[in-house]
Amino acid sequence: MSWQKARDAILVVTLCGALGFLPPILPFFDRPVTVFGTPLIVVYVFGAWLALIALAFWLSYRLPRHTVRDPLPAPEDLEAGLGDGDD
Amino acid sequence: MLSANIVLFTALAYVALLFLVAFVSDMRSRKGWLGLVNSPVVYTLSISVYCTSWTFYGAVGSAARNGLEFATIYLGPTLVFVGWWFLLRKLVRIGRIHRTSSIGDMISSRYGKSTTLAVLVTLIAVIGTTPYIALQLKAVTASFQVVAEATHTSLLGIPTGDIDIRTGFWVAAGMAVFTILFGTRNIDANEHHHGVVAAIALEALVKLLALLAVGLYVVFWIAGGVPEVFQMPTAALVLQGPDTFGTRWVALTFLSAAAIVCLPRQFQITVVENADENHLRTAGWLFPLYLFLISLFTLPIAIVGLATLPAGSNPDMFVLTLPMLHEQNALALLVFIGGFSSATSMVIVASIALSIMVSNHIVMPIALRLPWRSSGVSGDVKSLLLISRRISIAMILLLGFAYFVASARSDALASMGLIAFAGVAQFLPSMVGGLYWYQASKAGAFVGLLAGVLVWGYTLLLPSFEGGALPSSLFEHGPWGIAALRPQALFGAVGVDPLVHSLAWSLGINVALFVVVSLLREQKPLERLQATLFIDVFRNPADNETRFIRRSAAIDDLYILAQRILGTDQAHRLFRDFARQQGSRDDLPQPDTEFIAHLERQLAGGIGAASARVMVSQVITGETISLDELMRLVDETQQVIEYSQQLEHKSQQLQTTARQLRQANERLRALDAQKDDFLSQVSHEVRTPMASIRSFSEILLSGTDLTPDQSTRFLEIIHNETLRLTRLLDEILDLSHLERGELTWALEPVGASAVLARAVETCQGMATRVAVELRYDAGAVEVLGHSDRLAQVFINLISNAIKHNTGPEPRLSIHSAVVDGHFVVDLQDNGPGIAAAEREHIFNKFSRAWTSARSSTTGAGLGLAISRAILRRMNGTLDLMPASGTGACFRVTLPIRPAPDQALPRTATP
Repeated sequence: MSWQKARDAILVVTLCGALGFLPPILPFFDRPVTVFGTPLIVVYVFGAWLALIALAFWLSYRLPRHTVRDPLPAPEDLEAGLGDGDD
Repeated sequence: MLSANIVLFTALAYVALLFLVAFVSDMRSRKGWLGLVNSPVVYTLSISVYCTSWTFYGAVGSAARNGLEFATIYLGPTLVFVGWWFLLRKLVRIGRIHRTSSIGDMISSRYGKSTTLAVLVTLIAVIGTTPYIALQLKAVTASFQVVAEATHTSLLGIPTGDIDIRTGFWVAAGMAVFTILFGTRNIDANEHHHGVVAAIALEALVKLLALLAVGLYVVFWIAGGVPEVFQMPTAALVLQGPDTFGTRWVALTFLSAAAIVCLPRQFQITVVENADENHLRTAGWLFPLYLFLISLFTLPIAIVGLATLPAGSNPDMFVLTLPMLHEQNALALLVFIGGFSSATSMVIVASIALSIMVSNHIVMPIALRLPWRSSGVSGDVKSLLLISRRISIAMILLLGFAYFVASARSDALASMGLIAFAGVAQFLPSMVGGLYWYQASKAGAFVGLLAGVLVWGYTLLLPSFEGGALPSSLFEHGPWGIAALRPQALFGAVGVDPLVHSLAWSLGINVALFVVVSLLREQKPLERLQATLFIDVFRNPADNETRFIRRSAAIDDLYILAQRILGTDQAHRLFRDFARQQGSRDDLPQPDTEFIAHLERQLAGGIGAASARVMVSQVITGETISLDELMRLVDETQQVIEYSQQLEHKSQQLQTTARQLRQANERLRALDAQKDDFLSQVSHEVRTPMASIRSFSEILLSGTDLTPDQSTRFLEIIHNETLRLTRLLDEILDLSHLERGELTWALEPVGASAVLARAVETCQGMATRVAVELRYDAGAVEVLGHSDRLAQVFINLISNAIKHNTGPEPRLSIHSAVVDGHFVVDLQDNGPGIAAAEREHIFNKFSRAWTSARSSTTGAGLGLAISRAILRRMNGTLDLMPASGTGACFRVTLPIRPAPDQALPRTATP
């Protein structure tokens, strides 16, 4: 997957997440049905939430890393020395 | 039962641990060992300072009252972090490049480094945060009293006596000491507080562990499983709250999404303390996961608490009172520490963020206007900043404490969390608008922000004091009895949820004024420059600034200035490093525009962009902002888009041209090959008669014993061969003339059918063996052409069909017709036909496709090529029809002359 596709996908995921957690989609699941003893609306909210996190996790490493360093390091950075190169 | 001493001792030990962690991290980072502190996980954990005691204790209370509504507070931030690539990444990049020190600095810097805007943002932040700090103090105090007393009423979650103000005071004092020690260590070029971040991350782990432990205990020990929890009668009560998913749900989700960006403490942690932009990548999913885990057990705790705790219990304390009810002292202690963690981490980060804003945006501008500043001692500004920050922290916590004391007996603080959210949400239009909208101006931001905050204060903050300092008549009848101005029903908007009502009015007015005033007021050059640098931050490095602002200054003045703000050591390093980059051996760099811009950015990291600009301006001798350059920069974006479109267009054109050239080249190659073939064929054809002529003439020359008969016969052969040679050469010449269009015989009306009939008659002699079947359907039609030449074509085709038809019953059918205004003659034989592979070459010169064995009587193989060339001159065609059954079928097509009077004879021209 190219990073442009990952970027577009993350936009779609964010927008779908926003739509999924707002009316009118959310009240659709607010009905007296239980899944393994748990009300459907609770399963939906937490399930969709977890799915959103999983998608974000999957896509986040397909986006490009920021590699450009500041033109001049600040004195603090110089002081920090090698420790700055964490990743 | 826990005694007060044990709780106190644990709390103090925990505080000591926090001090130790902060101290060690600080020491390590000073030595350059950032290690764990500089990891994305610690960054993410520190962002969870979002979860204060209001969410630690209050989420369960909210769930008990309003069901799932508590989740909105976490869903908004989840969405913002999942979409980190679009907003947070830009904020962090700008924060790093422009050394942003706070949210006030960010907004003021975007709008031309405006001091007034920074002051306004700071005041709003202080107004919104102080009650929030008071709320944390109250939560810690109340939870301490509940957990340490363990009487019947404390099991209800309500402290027995009055709120113990002394506890609140010592908590506030302890936090002040911690924050001053680790939050005002130094004035950094980038406001990083490694010790604080490490402590906050530890606290984030503790509060998550505490909530998860309580959740697991409640669900699996008290209730006995997840389905059992939801089978409790209180579950239906909690989940079927009236209208949970209405406008309030939408408003809360939006509000929490705005808060995660706009809260000063969140901005401090997410943007200012960010050490590496790539940490956002991890935070983008890990922070939502943290929020997910922390809210996972909220609903079960609320349901079980309502079901098992005595009636009248305080739902806000369920997290603490449930373990206490079941005599789980260790768990209760852990919960208390978790709540303590969430409260203290919020207080620490919020007071650091506020102290930076107060010192940079309020104290510094005042100090810069005071007369004594001219002393210019090294580090004097630095120490002024540090002292003012320390005093600010103490003052902010004192203010929070005072607020806590004043409202200790009322419930005014309970709703403070959302009120603070709505207050800081006023930053959203000017901040996000400023990041994406070039025309957003300082005046628009200022007016929108001010109006939004005033409306917020009137419609949301003011009503929170109802019954206390304010008479309730104000809310029932409006000020001076004007019903339209009732704070919670502004302009007659009755029956709306107070929060939604306030949010709609304040943000609506905020956005409207921001946009309208921005459109009406012109931007100043510096505003326009900053707008471009901020909005195009991924396209323009900060160095671009030097293209537009030309400044000069004495290097000594700059050095003194840097020393005053950064201190001697840092200033020396800064100057030396830049001098080296300029390639100078001296420790002092050239004070060019680039260096001044770099210095100003470094100073801005310490004292804010507005103050840095004021201070640098004081030592600068000349400053011009190049408007032309600025306009060019704004246009550059547009130009880049146009260029890329042009490039795309050009490359398409190039591709087309290349394709055409390739095709032309292939045609040329084919022609070249044909020419070579032709030459070798001609040589071959000429060589055979030449060889026989030479050999016979040699015999005639040498031989004396030849009879006259023999001589005559040899001479005849020589004569015939010369004739054949001449004919061949004539044909070649003819063809070459035809092909080059040099033959100029006039095109004149010719009776096509008559010519065909004549040709058939001519061939009759050799066609005795072949049954010729004739069908003239065309009738008398005229075509433009040359009758002899046309006859030559027909004779050639007929004689070919006869000569090469080797079948047992040779037959030739000639059929003429008029099709679509064309005279069409089909010549179909029943011979062996033409092999599929030969069909393409049959019209080429010297091809004799349909004879496998070459007989000496056949022509040179030029007949079909000549015929086709002739017909082409007459605007006609000669085709080999697709194979059908046996034999070959040639078709001659000629356009019929439209009408005798219209068509004029014309000469054939190429």
